[in-house]
Amino acid sequence: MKVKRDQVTGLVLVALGIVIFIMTSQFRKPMTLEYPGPKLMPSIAAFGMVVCGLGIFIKGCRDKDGGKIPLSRQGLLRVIITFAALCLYIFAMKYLGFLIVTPFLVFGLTMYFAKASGVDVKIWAVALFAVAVTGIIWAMYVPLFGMELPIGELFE
Amino acid sequence: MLSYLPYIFSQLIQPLNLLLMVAGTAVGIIFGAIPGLSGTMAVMLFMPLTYTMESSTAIIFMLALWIGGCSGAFIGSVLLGIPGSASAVATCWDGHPMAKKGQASKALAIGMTASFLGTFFSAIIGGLLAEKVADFAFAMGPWEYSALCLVAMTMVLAISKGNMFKGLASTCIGILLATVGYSPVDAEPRFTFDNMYLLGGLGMIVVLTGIFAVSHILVTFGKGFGKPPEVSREGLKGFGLTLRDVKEELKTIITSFLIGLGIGFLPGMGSGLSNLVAYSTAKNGSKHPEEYGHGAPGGIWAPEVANNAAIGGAMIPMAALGIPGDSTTALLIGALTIHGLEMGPMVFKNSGNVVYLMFVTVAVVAALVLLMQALCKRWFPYILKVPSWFMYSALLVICLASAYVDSGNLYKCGMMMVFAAVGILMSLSDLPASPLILAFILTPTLETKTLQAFQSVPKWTEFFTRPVSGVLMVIAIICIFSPIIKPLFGKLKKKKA
Repeated sequence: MKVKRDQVTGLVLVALGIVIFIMTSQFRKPMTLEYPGPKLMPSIAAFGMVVCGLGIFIKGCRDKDGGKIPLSRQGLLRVIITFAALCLYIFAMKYLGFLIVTPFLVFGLTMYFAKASGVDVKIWAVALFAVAVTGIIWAMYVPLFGMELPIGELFE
Repeated sequence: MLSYLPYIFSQLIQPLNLLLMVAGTAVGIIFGAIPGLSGTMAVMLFMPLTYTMESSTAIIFMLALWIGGCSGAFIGSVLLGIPGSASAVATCWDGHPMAKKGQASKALAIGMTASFLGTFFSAIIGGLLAEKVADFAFAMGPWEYSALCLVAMTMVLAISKGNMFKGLASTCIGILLATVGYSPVDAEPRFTFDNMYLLGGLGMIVVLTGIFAVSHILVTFGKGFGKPPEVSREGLKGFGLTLRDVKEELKTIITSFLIGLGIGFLPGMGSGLSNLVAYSTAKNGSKHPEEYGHGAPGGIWAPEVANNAAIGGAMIPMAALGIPGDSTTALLIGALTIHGLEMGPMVFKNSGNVVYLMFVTVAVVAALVLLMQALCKRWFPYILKVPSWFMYSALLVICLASAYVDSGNLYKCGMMMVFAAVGILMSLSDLPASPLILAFILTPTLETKTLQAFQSVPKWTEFFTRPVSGVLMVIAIICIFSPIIKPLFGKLKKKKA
């Protein structure tokens, strides 16, 4: 039997609702009819998730297609690679700072995005764009609006 | 209100405010025009920039982004046949066919003029009505506020076609995310896992930018950007509209304006719905409904007047009650709180000058948008041809910079990536985003008011026995079950027929 998207979504929501319900029950302040306290909203959220999860699951079982994932396997891989690149960027920024790491990220992403779209872009144009974007964003946040961007632990 | 005019005027003519108004409007139009981006995303991304600004400057900048975004959405609809945002879906149906007939200039001119009329007059009416609504709101207790928040959160569900469980699930996720950190009234830590970064809550920028902006860009890339669209520049000379054209459609304009204003005023509703309702009303009331869908001018006037009139409508409950009319006003309420402006009836007493500055700014920006669009019309095709690979890589960096600036530490950037993952999973599961945004922003108010209500009278029945809150609670319950009730009514009607 093929597992459908909505069935998985429903089950995940039910499981999440149950976990939240258990966590909520551990709050110190009790929930009473006279005063529901801090448990009220998380309990509503948990209850809602379980009910909706069951509803989505049942609907998923009834529907013929049960919802299709709007991404191909290749598309999903592209999402994961970009996501990983952004995580790596945050990690690198911690040590090297915004100004050093950002041009590499913008360059890499722009090249990757263009390649994946089947477009040839000139390397020098992308490099120029990467430096310009970094400079503009830095100028906008730091000198213009007086905010801070990561300097990098190695340079602090 | 007249006593505030010198203050409002002095703020609007300040060089920095003027500069940011023009810049915000231009950026907003670009974000509105490009399919996939929106005025809401522009407000979200640039909001952290306003943290160091004075509140009046910040308000002017954010409103310019919002109004520019709302008004620019028709450009993609007319020239590409792809709406810039949900508020311009109906504009495609006649805007693009008209452009294909070689009347792109006229279609764009109708869009611009309609946007101006809708925004300008709704801002004026909003400014005149908001304080009256606020006076009424003084009589409201925590029961009524709780019920109103509930209505705002559930009304979105009423329009989620055949998607009730998913809409409700998205609302529940929003509620859950809003409960992280110390609870209001009792100050009990919830879902903090002894992490000091979570004690103060998740933070609006981190959650919303992660779930909406970053995940949206990644999923769009996953689906494939494609090559930039081919957009014809032919027939874009001149303004393309005469006073006679406006007079011919006056009835449609007025009807659509009232529809937009009314729908905008309803909590939780917004321009996404108003343009569709106004379009179908205009088509049904037209002497030549067969022309709709083939480039009828009324098919552009109606949605564009209505979606922009929803702006002024949405600002009334935002200012007077602190309840958002749509997801962008929800964001603005959060942003204004950061600037020390707690929206609600008291704001007219404490900061009336700033509230009226908001309404006047919207009217001024509406005129500015018309001017900028009229002058730059022939360059609109270039906006739509911006290659996605350049645009989205730069936007991702802005998203991460926003998260860092919001909190001053990279931990929140990491947290934003977690929410980006949540957003991607939501998108893959087809869970809608709007209910989450409203629930996340409204839950703190809903929870505080509900607990205050229980502290005053420890009975849950009080929510149903008080007349106003009782009616609102019934509306909220109907909204939750409306996707089930509506088809049942339809079946009953068919049986009777």
